[in-house]
Amino acid sequence: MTVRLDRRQFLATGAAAAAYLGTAGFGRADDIKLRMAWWGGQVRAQLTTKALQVYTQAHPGTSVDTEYLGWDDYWPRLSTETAGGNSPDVLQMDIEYLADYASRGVLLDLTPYVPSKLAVSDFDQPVLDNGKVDGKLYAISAGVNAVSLLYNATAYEEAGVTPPGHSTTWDEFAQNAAEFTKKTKRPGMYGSTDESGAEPVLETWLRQRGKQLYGTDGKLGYDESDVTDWFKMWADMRASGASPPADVQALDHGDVDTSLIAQGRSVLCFENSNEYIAFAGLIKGELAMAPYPKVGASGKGGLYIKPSQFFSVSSQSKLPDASVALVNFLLTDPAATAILGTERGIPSSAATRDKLRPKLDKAGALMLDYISSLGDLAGPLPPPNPPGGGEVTTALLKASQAVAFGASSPADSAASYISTAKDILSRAS
Amino acid sequence: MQSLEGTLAQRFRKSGAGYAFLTPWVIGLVGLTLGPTLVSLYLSFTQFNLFQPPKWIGAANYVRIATNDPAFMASMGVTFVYVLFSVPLKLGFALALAMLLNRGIRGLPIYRAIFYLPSLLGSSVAIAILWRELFAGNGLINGVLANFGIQGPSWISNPHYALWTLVVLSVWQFGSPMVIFLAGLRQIPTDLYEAASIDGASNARKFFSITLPLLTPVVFFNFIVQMIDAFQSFTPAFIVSSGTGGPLNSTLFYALYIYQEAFSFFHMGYAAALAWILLVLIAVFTAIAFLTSRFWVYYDA
Repeated sequence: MTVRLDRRQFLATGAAAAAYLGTAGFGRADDIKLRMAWWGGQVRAQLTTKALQVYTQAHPGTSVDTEYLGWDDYWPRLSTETAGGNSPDVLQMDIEYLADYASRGVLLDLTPYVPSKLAVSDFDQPVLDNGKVDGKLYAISAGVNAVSLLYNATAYEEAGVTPPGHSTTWDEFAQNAAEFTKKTKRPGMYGSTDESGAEPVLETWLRQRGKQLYGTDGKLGYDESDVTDWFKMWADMRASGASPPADVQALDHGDVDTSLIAQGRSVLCFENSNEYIAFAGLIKGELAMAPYPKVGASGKGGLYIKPSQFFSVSSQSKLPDASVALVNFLLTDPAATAILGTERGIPSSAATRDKLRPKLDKAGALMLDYISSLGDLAGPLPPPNPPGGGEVTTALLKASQAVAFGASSPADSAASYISTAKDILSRAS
Repeated sequence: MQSLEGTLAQRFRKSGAGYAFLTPWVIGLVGLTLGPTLVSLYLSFTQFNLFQPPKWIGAANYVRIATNDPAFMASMGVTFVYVLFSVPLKLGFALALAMLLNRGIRGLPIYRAIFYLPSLLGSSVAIAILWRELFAGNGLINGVLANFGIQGPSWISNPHYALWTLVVLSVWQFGSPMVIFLAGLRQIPTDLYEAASIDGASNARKFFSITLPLLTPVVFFNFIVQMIDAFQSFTPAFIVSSGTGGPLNSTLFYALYIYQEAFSFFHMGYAAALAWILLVLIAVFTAIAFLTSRFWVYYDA
């Protein structure tokens, strides 16, 4: 059987083929599709998308698909995608999970790209080191922050109670919080949240007592008696009305929308300083910042200036160079840093900070000044979390809830928590 | 010998087309069900964190489950309570509504559709999110209770009540067993009822002596299906507790526990072992149900 083409058909087919090959060839040369994932709220999404648009306009043929989720949803999603070989090219990473992911070979080693492709030479060295695992650079800080109390200054004024400040001790804090709960006219609002299950707050408190979460050997840096005192402190606060009962606290699922301060159930929250922007829009009143309470009047602050989050590149990425270029853009390009501002934290590059300070709005200036105001209260960076760290965080929450719901005494719950944590760490290594 | 082969060959030729049509399904069965099941059996004897190759550790996972896992015991307890309460309640409601609808009321198709709708949507994420908001501290349920002057607790964040909100959610989805009960009720010959009425039987007597015995095959079917489904329940627990298993593990359904071990903590081998235990458990319960069925299920010849 022969195919008969008359001349018209031949010309038409030929033209179509030439057009297809032509456009395909044109597209194939430049067609870079990157995928980027991060966690955060709406504000972060808007700013990041804007910065990405600048990038794609400057690099025609490159497009970036974005995925963003809440904190709780981000990690299971990322682990599933990575397991399926489908990890995003550029991803946001956190110190809590960095060791887990890096030790499993999932992140690209960025050391060869510095400083030619990643212009990070003027980043604060300790902060840069925090992104290293076993001496190799796997993640670069997108900003620094420190833990801080975000509190509703207007509500404190209304109730006539002193808000926390740079020298508040835990005892004063508990007293003021109980007083606030009694005096406030806002219905259902407590003077504090119940942070007995929150690892960052525990960490600060431990550092104030000269202990730490993990030693450099990857083992727990604290013991049963510490945890018992910790649980007892919060049990007293629950009893005095300073912090809410267990079932109210359990409504808080760790993201901005379900947080007690956003729900109007608490006048403050224990958060990171860079989350100021996300929370400021959600409360009825003026949001202000203070460090965490101290253990004694002359006690150490226990805080440290830490990388708020990192950008990493997946080792599974088919476009490593393009991904690294995007990370470099987001972290060092003046246009990008101007757009992203301080939403992910104060930039770790001194040059960027200086450029940014005059342009910062009230919120940004507040956060930057907070970091500068910490002075002595901030200490050295702690050793990174070992593998299994994420699971220990969950175990702390469950142990604290056992005490809060009255199912277990502080001492018993502390004992079982320590043995669970040791078990988790030995399993994970 | 010759004739046997011939018969075999003939039989194969006759049903060859049948086998050919079956191959897509067989490929699916092996590739998507049997294959992964066998791989998971292998994985249950390994330590596997998903990013690195599995490491053989023998029965260590099973030993740990048996001796050193309080969360396993907790989630077993929670799952058993859930099955024990949600299945009979669900079937009870289904049967009651089916009997009501079987009286030949007008608009039967509409009622049937309305009652069936929850079971269509019920296991979805959207409904679970809705449920979580309904039973939250300031949710609709507490709003309604407040009208009666009752200050309701926060149902979903209280370990005493959280599981029961999930039981209610399950019972709310009684529509699908109800529809099956309706079909079963239709099959009972009406002359039996008429004969009983003539003999002066009360409604209760009619129910226990005619309806229930003749419905036992349908009850058995619904029971098996709902029990297996309840053991594997995941989405409601995941959404209502935001993936944590609820305050104090009170909503830590077994499937949710498997998910946590696998995807939150990267203990894939351990999760595979947990999954196989669930499989064996469900198989044992189903076998018990089948074996005891000849004592109470009446199939009319």
